[in-house]
Amino acid sequence: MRNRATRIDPTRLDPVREFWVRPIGHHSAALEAVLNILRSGPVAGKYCLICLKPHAQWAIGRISGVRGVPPTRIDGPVFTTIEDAERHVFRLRWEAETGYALPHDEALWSEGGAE
Amino acid sequence: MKSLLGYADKISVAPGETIAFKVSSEDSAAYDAAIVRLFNADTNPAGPGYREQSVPDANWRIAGRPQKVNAGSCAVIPVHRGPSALASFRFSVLVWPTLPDQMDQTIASLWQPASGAGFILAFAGSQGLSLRLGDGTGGSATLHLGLPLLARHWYRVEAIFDVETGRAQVRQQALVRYPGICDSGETGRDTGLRGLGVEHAALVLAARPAGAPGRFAGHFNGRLEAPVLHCGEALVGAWDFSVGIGTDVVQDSGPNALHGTLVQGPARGVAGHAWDGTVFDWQRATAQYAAIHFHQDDCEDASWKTDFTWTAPTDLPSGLYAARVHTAQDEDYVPFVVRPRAGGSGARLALIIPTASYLAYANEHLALDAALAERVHDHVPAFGPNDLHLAAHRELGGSLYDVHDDGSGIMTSSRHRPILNMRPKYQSWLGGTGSSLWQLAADTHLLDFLDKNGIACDCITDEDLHAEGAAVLSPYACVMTATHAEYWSTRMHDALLAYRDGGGHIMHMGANALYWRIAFHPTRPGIIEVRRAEVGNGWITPPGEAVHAYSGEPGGLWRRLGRAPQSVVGVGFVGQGFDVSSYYRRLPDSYRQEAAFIFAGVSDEIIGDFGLIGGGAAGLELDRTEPALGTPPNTLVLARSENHTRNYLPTVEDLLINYAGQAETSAVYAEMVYFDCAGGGAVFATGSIAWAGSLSHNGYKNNVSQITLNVLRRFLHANE
Repeated sequence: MRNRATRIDPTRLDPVREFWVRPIGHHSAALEAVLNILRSGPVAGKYCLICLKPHAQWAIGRISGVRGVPPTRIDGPVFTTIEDAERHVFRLRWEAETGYALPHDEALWSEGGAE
Repeated sequence: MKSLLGYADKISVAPGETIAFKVSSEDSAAYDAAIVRLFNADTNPAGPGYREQSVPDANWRIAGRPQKVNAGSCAVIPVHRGPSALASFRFSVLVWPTLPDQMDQTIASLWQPASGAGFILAFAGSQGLSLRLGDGTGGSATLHLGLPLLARHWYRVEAIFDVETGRAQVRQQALVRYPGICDSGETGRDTGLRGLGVEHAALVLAARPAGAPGRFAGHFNGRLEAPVLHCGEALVGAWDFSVGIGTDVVQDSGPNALHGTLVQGPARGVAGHAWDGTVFDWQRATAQYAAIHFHQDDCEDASWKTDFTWTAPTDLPSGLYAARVHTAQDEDYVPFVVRPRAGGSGARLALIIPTASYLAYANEHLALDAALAERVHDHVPAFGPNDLHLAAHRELGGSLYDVHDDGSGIMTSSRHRPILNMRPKYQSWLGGTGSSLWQLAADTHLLDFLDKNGIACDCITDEDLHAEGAAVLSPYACVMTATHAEYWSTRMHDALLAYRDGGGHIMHMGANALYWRIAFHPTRPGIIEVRRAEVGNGWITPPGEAVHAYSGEPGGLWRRLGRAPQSVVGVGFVGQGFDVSSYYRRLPDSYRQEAAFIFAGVSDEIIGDFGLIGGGAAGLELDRTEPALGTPPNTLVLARSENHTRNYLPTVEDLLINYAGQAETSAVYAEMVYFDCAGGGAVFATGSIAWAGSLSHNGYKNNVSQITLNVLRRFLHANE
């Protein structure tokens, strides 16, 4: 197992920008490598979406990992696109994984990460 | 949480037949009920819209009542027909626990809850075996052996009580010993009891009576074998689970013939303590398969009472229908098929509604239980109210993809329980982006398309096909399969092949069909069994257990059983992804004269770069040709999908070795094919589950719908 702290370089934001443009669908190898880490946690506590209104509203939840205990919604905004909810989960996981907060959406395009 | 749930006694109703609906209204609220015909179960605002139609004179106001599901399997043996009063007794059984640390698991009981009379032999977690005795007049005693048991190891367990001395004993002997592991021993003492006062009780294996008739508690997880009960020196019964595998009866081989009944469908045809790896088919050495695997979460039949019934009018068109029940707070739909009258309605087209595949996925918990689910579809799973309810109510049972609480695979699935993902409007994490539909709801894209084009279509279920064979297809010029007809019994398979070879025309509208063999319960409709031999999916069949208990047939992929789907419909499963779908590009065969009718009015090179399922006609699960697996040599490969995401990965049975970059070099794409058959019929296959989601694009006028209509019109009028 590689050192957890070095699994994702928090200064490289190109994969993040790519994800922001297209959260679901074609992803580069670099983004796939990041997603493979961010999506690979254990089922207990894993983020999920809770659909509040079909095709219209989603909240973030966490899976219990305990049979018979349903996912619970966590505090946070209600999203009106599934892509925005995806970006939010990405942001939460990035911060938990790297220890660094991601820049705000607009700032993503002006800060750091140049190759 | 949901407050209304229901199911029905049938899934296929012939005109004139009556169907009974069983509903739980959790808070006892009265509800409205009505029969509706389902045309489009997709609520996606990007599509043509959800569409159901009321059936006249079929609506009711029902006084609601809550109904519970009592999950957990056991065997109930009416020993009161033999020696009645239980005085001195000796009970022995072989035990293979799967969750030995869990408290309150009953191995066997002969117990009267009201009076507290009888015995309960159970696990008490880390305290190991316990024997509770009661005389029915307030006297009781409990012995604890104090030896933990190892999971998935065989033990001989005995409970003994001597009415003369009041002495009780518990013994546990491991059949496999390890140095330093102390898991064999016995304990005994004078209980002070001078009788057990049991009358008219049943011997219950793997649970104990809970008071109300038919209710049990303290379910055991694991396998039991060869229980024997003596009363004094007299043999009461010796039950041989190797007899009647495939039935719900446990046979007493002793002189009293005290045969028992299984409750909630525990697993039979599983290896017992004597399985030695020399046989792999229980029919060849039943004595090595003398165990039954019980689970606390087995759910074969909710056994709810009927709340309302409906008789299908004789002039009602065949189609997909549902009983809609609703209050101001909640609603549920109980879907069913109204099949045509015997011999068909006169329609030239039949759609096989793949109810066996619906059962395979019934109440699937993969995204709740498996961390890998998110990586399988490369986006965060979204759960709706039905998923959250399922997550909280494991007693509703799982799918053939899930595992039991003890980690063993769920091998059977029943429709005699509410199935929360077999519902119109239901969105599944397996359905990709966009509409996110899977199975029943996705299949309504076909019904909607046919109805919008004025094409009469009879609906036939898998159960009809299994029960009646090719005769049920014979009235039709064309038979259509649905988006994901994955699970086939041998009789279903035989029927489709007989139809094709007898001159029938098949439009294979989905993908990954004809994939797993299943067996239907031999006597009770609506229950299927799968053995995931050689290749797993969610779980894999343990060694030596690849033969169905229901049928005696070897289980597994039809491909591994010598009937690859490629040999039936030209294409077979090659890989899957569950994020976004893609498109097809036409191949040279599509410009051949023989294929001209398929592409009449279609000038595009790119087919299906649009749709409600992932945004394209090629997506979710994909099929392609493979001559080595039986694709007929005269097959025209009309188009091939391309530009799939990195999430589209080859199916595991094609992976004979792993290597870096495997996904990039694997041929995971859909192929659209056509071939003529020697019997005069023909087959058209799309090779993609997502295809049906593209039919409605642009007001139903697009190259996917045009190709579908071109083939359909040719097939419908082929033999005129």
